[in-house]
Amino acid sequence: MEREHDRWRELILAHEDLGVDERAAADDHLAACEDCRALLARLRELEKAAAPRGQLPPLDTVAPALSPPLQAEADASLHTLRARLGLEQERTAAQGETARHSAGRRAPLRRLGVPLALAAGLVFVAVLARTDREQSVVRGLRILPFSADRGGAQSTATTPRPVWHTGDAFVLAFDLTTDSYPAVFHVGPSGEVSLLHPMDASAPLPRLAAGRGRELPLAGERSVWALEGAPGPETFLVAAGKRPDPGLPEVLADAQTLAQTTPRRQEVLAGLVRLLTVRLGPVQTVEVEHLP
Amino acid sequence: MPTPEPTTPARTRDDPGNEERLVAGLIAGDRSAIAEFLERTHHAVYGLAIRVGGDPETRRDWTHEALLGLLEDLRRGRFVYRGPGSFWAWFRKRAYFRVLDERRRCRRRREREGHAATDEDGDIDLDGYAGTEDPLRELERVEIRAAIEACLDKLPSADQRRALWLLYAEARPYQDIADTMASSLNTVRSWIRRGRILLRKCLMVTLDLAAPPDGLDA
Repeated sequence: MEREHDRWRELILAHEDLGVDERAAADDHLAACEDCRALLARLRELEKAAAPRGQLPPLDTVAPALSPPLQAEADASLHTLRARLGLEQERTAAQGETARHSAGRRAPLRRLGVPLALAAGLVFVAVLARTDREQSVVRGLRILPFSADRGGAQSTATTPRPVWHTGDAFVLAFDLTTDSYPAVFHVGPSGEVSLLHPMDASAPLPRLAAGRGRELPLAGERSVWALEGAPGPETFLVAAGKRPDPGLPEVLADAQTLAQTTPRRQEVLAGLVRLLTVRLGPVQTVEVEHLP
Repeated sequence: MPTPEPTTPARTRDDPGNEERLVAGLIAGDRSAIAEFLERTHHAVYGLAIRVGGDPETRRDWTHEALLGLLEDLRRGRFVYRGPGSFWAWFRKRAYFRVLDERRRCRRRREREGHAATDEDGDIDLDGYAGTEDPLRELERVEIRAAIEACLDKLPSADQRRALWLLYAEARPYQDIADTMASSLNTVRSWIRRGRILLRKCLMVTLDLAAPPDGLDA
């Protein structure tokens, strides 16, 4: 009986894709089942009406419509987005490069060219480092042995372990500079990608309060993380965004596709870092060598 | 804190070669293409975010997420270049949806976290964006579209996702989809059939559609 129901369900839900014989059978069933007809009609109606009707006006008509305060607000927003993607630094670097070329053409300053360029480079590196620190919400990521008697926010496990073996349970500990929604991904020895936190990619991320010594998995969770499978390098990536729904199903699907199509583990890691950076923000990683 | 420099979106019309090159660069993740794209589109998207409510920080977040989502759409093959003007036509519709979807997500999040409704929740002005369309009806469409996209994202196969996306969102004929995906027509039919069943089961659950009593249950 159940199998018969499954057969009708599949035939009706795939009605548009059926061959002649299947279509005839499905139509006979639909003719006798008013609720089935109503459901199929409702699904089609929803699918057809799903696209919103509106659109942005042509791009060249927008800027003049913004008042000066809103224009300034929009300019600041664009600046922030460029910085978030690292484009602002590149622009600064390009400007610095142009300035160095100009300086090089000025004869009186030629002798100082190399020291000035070095100084400019050092300043630029310092600015980059500072910007990265400012943007990173997760600090001091480390992997610690799991302690079964964790009772509160603070773990009793505090000592890093140099050697890890199959079956060793662990927690990830880090500091958070602001309330945020961290996610944890794992890249295994062969480049396989999995999501550790949250357990379900489509579930909203729980918010963690800012502070030191935050740990995942959360103390109240039933899950215990342990090293399994083939030995080799194990990399854990933590990124914390400002929203509980940063699109983890897409990130996971893309990363897993990448892992299936890319034989090199480092490329998978780099790709996952890029995906997470865009969706959540700067990524912190920690790697351990997993021994048998 | 660095002072933001004033920016002005480019006002010149694209020549077809530039548009195609820009799209190819965005799909490849070329950073200069991304920089150009943001320069040209950010303020238009921000203009809509202003109209649909929220404080400056909120509309900045909506704009950023919408633009990053658009870049992701391109990378995931959700746009196929079909000639001059096709990218900007797609962009204007897709960015509009993305901003309204960000507003929807934001409201949902606040509801989940138990925040009370504010005056801004009802404050939406789509005049000039959606024509004479009733804004509430338009928001309902966004809700349904978001449910469809969420269900598409849950499909287990990337091929199913892409084929159904091209079918639903781009209204592409099967043969076109097969050409775009460099696959045979029969393969594409199979992806679409299996994917459509899963998609509709997911929609029945997500949108709480009643299952008929004869066993057509999700």
